[in-house]
Amino acid sequence: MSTTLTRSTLLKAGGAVVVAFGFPLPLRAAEAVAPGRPDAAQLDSWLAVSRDGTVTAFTGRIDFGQRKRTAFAQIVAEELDVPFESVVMVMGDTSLTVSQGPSTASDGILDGAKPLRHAAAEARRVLLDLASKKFDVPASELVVNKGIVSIASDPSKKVSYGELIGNRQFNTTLKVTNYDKPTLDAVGIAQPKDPSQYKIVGKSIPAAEIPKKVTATWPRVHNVRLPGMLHARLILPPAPGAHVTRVGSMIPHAPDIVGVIHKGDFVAVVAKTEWAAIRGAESLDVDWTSAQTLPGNDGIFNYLRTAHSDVEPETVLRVGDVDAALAGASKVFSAAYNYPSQNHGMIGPSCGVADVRGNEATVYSGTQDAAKVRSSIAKLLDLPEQMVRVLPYEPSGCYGRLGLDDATVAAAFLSQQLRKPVRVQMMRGQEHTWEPLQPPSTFSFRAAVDTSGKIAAWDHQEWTWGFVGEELPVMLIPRGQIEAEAPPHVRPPGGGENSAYGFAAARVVGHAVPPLLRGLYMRSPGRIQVNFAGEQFMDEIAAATGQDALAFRLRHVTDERTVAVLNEAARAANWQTRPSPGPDARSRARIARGRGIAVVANQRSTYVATVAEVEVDRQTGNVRVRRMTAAVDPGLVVNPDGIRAQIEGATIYATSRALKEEVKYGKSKVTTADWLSYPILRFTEVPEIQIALINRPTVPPGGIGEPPNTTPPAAIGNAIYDAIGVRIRELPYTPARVKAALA
Amino acid sequence: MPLTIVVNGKAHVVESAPDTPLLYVLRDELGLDGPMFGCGLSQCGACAVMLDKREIRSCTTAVGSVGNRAITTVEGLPKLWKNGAKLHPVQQAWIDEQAPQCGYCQSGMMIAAVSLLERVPQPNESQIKQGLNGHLCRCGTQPRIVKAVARAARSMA
Repeated sequence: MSTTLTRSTLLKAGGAVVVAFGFPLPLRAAEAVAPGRPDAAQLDSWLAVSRDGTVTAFTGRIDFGQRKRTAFAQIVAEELDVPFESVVMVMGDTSLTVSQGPSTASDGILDGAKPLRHAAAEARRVLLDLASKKFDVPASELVVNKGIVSIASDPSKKVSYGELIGNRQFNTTLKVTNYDKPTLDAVGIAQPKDPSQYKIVGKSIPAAEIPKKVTATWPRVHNVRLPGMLHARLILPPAPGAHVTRVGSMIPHAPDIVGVIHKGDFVAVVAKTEWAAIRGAESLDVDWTSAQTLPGNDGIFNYLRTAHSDVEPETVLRVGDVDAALAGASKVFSAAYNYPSQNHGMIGPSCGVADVRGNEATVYSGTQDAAKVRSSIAKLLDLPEQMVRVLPYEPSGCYGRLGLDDATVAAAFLSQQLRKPVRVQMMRGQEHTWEPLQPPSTFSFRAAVDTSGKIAAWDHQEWTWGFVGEELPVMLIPRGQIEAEAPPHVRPPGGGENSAYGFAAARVVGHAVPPLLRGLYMRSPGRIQVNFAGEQFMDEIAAATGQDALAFRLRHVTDERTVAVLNEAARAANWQTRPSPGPDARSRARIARGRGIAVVANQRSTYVATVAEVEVDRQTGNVRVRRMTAAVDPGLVVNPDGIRAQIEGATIYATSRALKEEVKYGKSKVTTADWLSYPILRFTEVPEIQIALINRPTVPPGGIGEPPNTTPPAAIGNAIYDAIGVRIRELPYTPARVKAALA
Repeated sequence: MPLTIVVNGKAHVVESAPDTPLLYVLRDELGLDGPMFGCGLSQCGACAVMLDKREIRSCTTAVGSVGNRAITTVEGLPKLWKNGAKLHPVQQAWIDEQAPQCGYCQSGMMIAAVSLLERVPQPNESQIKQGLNGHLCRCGTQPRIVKAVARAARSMA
């Protein structure tokens, strides 16, 4: 028996956040709307008010612990004038929420919250209209307090939102722009509040889900358990490009093994218990063709620079005549930088659960892009798209698009084959070696400097293999079907076009080479690489011309917000004006201290300057980051504590990337297969984090997950140079690399 | 012969073979959501549970090796503190400091904190960091966890 899930049953259930009903789906597709999803042009698709006053707000966006759930609810409560506690968020369910594109790129608040803000403002207007008719007074004479409408001059006359519209529909149309896209907006007649009136937005409201997370009761895809659910483990190729030639037998673990599913290069062991699936997969005898598609660890940057590419180099920025400026300059500087491939490094390996019955599929997924996963599964399983329901569940924090989509699609495929619910989880080694790794990049810079020590021209080239595969899960499933729909593509990750500096002449060229491994976005994609290289090159020029690193940057910046974060970071970190390297670089003491700065302007509409303070051990080469100071201007601060948590996390994540993280390759495969070979920052290595937050209430809120993750590698590199007078132009800053540079 | 294990104060007869890692018995036979699979290699700490008064990694501990010693998962922490408690002080401190982001590692982190506070009731900052150093978090919640452990220690004093 299946239960029909509609808005009304949801309201009766008290607006339960996570619901796992079956089919049929509510079919409300209109033209230009993703099949089976609510129409963005209906106010009822965004908000519902129950009789008890509970407001359920629906968004196509999801939250993986970045406190977007809290921030969205704050925005809704603010515009509606209801208590924060009365707002329940439903996020991402493909049957209940409007398609708003993927939840990526730090645009959850920047773009994702906009339509809800406008819908809530419009809902308040409609509610006041209803109250105006009820009391027969103009809406302008009404006031709202905590969801109760009263007459300003006669407060005894009052009515609650629940009484006005509880469990009924608004039936109000909104004007929609950018259907199905991350920038979708839906506006009514009402104007949202002026930020000076905010009472709920701007407060550090604690996250409602945290008490559930500390009691292990918050729904998580890894903990989805369905009746009769089977467990599967995948057998992945020993090398990219290897193909199955024979699937043999395994050590039997009867009766718990259900079977081996083999189609093309897809091989999985399915069992009644998870441990039996693991043991079965480990012991299954599979023969593969050999494949050697990788250049080995030392060859990766050479490959990027020399590989033949059919993709034309892309000029992403061209200002002035760079070649003329370089030819006529009094000084020309040049340098090359290498940023290695890195691993998203989810603590919980990718997991997905699917229940496919007949022509209906219910999928429990940690995906950031439910719409894409839904269409992939529909294609692979040959089902109409509206018969695939994707229920977003929180995964492990993932910082980019990765194997979660693969696991979900694999689970759906296996469930269809076996006609039972199936749970798939990767093993650690699979996650580390087969997740869509961040591609490596290499850079070449030249800069012309005039006699006053100012940059006259900036010439910037990057080589990378970009992002592959239309972001569809192409790794695990029988490939033909999906590849035909979406052939792999490459593109430069970009970011160079958004320099903090207004150089008179500048050229940024991206070269995309054929991918050797599947690559996908990882926190601050493109920008962290460009910043690591460009902000160190800025520092090289400052040092070579005897200028203080902060003052040198300020000479090239005109934008007020960029100037403000630079000055604020310097003030908070007690920046001493002097050129680098600092005094310790000339001392012979074992420990050398240094500081460095880096800035990123207008990344997801947010501005960040980071000051790193480091100690370098000349004997061991070990770099200890003592303190990171981040000055951040995200525009309007919706939830200060939530933003601080993101700045802390992003700074630590990028410090880890700078000091420790490098995916290594052999000739045939990725060799960094666990946390020993791919270490990340530990408690004793985590720096003190100091945050200077610049709140601009009248500027729309920008992104926060990525921008503070962009600047640390350059800031740390600059601090290392300040400490020891040696420039390290390749990440990570490992003890071996630092020692070699000192030798 | 079926094994009996004591989890969160209650004895359970389990069907798994003795060489099955405790993690899968807790999650798949007993339906507990606290211990998480992170690596299966004792490297990350997401699967940590208490065995009597010290933390172990359930992903590499065979269920047959546990005997009648008391296993405590996050679900059992309140009761470990006192009967009828809704939260262990460590859990309350985690809420007060708004420590979790995604939360995947946090059950293991709280187990590590309880284990540390058993050994060192009033740890200084360096002892907290050392005590939790075997646990990985990718969201970067370490500064808040350090504060939360110190807060829990104060409230348990």
